[in-house]
Amino acid sequence: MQSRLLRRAYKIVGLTLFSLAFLVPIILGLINQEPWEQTAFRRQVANSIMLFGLLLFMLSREKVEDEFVDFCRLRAFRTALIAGVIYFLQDAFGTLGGNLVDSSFGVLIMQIAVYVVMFYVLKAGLFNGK
Amino acid sequence: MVNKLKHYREQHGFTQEQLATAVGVSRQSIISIEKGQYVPTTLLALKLASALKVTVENIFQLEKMDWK
Repeated sequence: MQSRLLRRAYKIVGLTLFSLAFLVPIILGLINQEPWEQTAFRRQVANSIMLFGLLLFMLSREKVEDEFVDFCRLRAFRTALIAGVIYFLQDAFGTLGGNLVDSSFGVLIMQIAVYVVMFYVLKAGLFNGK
Repeated sequence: MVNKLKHYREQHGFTQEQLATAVGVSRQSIISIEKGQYVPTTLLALKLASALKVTVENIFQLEKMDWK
């Protein structure tokens, strides 16, 4: 079975993009001491690069691609999807006053984080996923 | 489901790595199958049986609770 995935090297590219997009705004913020409103656009660009980096990371091949890796991937996707819906509902209706989710970035980054953690936990056999 | 993969692998003198290479999967896949955490597809079950020169039924056997 051939999965249509990116080459393994994209894992490093994705992680590098994520790390840079995460760290650079923090460092720039510390150096320039700019108010949040002035850095909002920069933050949005950094968030997009972070998401893109994580997407590259999760869509790149593992060292050995076999049916067990596919199984782990599907389980991790399912868990991430459910976690995303729960997060959205909790955020939209959980707080007093029904505060609607205003950041799709928050939901997406949480889903990808859950996916990545779940995938490697399943792959390492730390959790049987049943 | 009863799973005798470890028994037959050891009987054949295969390490997990050698069996994984023989059937074209990762060592982690063999570990997960042996632990009963992952049930392989028919294709992989047939490959495992072929590599160990036994039948699939020798390695994997149904239990009463599997019918419920």
